[in-house]
Amino acid sequence: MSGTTIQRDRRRRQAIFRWVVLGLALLYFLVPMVSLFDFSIRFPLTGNVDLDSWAALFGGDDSGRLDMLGEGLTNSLIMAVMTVVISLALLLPTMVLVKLKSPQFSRAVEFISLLPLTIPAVVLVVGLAPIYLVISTRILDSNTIWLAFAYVILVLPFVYRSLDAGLRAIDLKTLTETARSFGASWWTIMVRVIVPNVRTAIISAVFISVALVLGEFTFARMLARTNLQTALFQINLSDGQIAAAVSLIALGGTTILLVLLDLVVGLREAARRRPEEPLAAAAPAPTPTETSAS
Amino acid sequence: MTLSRSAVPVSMAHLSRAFGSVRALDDFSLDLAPGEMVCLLGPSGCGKTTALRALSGLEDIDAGSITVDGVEVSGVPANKRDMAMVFQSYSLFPHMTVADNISFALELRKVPRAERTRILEESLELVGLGAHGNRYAHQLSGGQQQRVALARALAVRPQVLLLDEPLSALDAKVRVQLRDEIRRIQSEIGITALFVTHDQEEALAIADRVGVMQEGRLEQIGTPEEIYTAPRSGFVADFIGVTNRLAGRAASGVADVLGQRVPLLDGSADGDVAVLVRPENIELEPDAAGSAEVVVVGFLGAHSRVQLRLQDGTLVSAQVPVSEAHALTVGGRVALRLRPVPALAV
Repeated sequence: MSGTTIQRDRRRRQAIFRWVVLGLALLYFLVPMVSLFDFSIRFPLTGNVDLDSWAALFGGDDSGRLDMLGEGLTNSLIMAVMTVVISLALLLPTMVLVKLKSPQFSRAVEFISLLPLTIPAVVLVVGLAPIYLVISTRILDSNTIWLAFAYVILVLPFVYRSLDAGLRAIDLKTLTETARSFGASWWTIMVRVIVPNVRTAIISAVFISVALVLGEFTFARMLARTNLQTALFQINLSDGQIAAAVSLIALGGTTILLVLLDLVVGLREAARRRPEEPLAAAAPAPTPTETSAS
Repeated sequence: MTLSRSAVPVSMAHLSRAFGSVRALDDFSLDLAPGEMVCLLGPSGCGKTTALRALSGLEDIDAGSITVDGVEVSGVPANKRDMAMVFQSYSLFPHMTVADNISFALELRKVPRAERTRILEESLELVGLGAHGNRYAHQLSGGQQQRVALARALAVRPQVLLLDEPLSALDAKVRVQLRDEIRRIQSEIGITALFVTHDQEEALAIADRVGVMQEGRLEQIGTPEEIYTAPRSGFVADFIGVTNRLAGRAASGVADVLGQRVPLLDGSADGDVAVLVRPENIELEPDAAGSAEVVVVGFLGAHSRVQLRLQDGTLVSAQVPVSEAHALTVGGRVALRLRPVPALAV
């Protein structure tokens, strides 16, 4: 057998292996979703297939269940935005300042930021209950969206990890000092220099925060607030099929949202990198400079 | 040239800065004349970078005064001082093109938009990178990145140009090229500049005056030639170039070394001393009865570096023209003659 044949065989085996892995992964994700869809259209007792639950969702159901769902979804989306904004506004400047000015505190910041990971949500919520009693009676009101403050704690470890990776990847000290020496204020440095250079990290922090907030149940349930998950749970108690349909939509919606975000970022990255090829081809510089790349 | 403006004097007086128990600057004083390029040179940890950062405002000082063009700036934050810096590590903003990097700096300095394009082109031309405006830092070689950093620093027409080991990340050939270019541009524009390096060859080649630092203090400052030929201390003599320490006896400005008389520089010690003799001030003559043995002959291009062993075992380094080195053989004996060039005894 010639060498090329062996190579071709190996390539084909590798291709097959890749498709098998991809197939298994897809199966792992798709089976629950297909089951969910199946559940939403098949009446459990009789096994009859109908689209009543979906019709109820899109055809306008006057039972008020969907009002609750709409409220939960709206609350969750608002809270997702609030959580993202607050956690980034809190953590990014803190981490930058600690890295630049007082690196001795970086361990403490890391510890505090990662702490929520080790505390179960149920335990957290027990501590948060009296605080929310004060918040809802004395400071703000009992609106669900104030739960975003608690969600900030919840997403802290993930936001920290993302930003930490992003900040490690750039020469923070030199970049800020350069900008300072040219006259940039700290605000300008943050907005014009640091944020653009850790954008990928910020996006990944946003992804995980949004996903976490949209999927949060424990806090909202135990503090008797209405978010997407508690609404779904409530509907499930009365009509499991509609709940399944909504879950599917929520899942799909989140996925589409994240994929869109990813695409937008990807396109912008690509646009930024694109000049590389034609320039590299036209390398010899008409200057007395060294032309060889280091 | 529009990039130039009238150069200003800079004065740093009695600066102190301590990091814990380490005194990075210890009563450090340095004056720069308008348009002068001064190099601070010293081993790592000698405080040279702290001095530069103190001038830039990136480092606070505990005591002392800094004036630029007669104006006290020591209380002024870095972003309000009219200086620009080229760093050792590549400092181009990675998310911006070369042109955007320079425009951003100009924008920060509140240069009107209409002027930015012209200054941008001019400063890129100055460093020979006119065609590279739309590239990103990662598409440039290290040398090119530092050229852009230099162009960016000059574009804002600062009062003072600060260079913090800008060449030390580059390979040898690019380093020499860019070094000469920095010197050319600096004198062309006539800007006051402070250059920090640990590379003595670089310092001697580029500076109007070289300041040798040790433990937070300026050990000696003078023209490169003064520093090299008339070091004021053993530290400076050792740090700059290669120096032999030859045992001798000194009295009233003359030393007796290896049976020869060598005039001494001011500030030399008396009595039993070590006389610091440069390799190029030692002449060799093949002589079977000579006092030294050739250990190594190393070819350096125009010169050869010859290692000798004296009878007492001391190793001595001599530098001779290649044509003379041909006459030497390893293991052969030579007679050693010291040129009557003033040397320092310590």
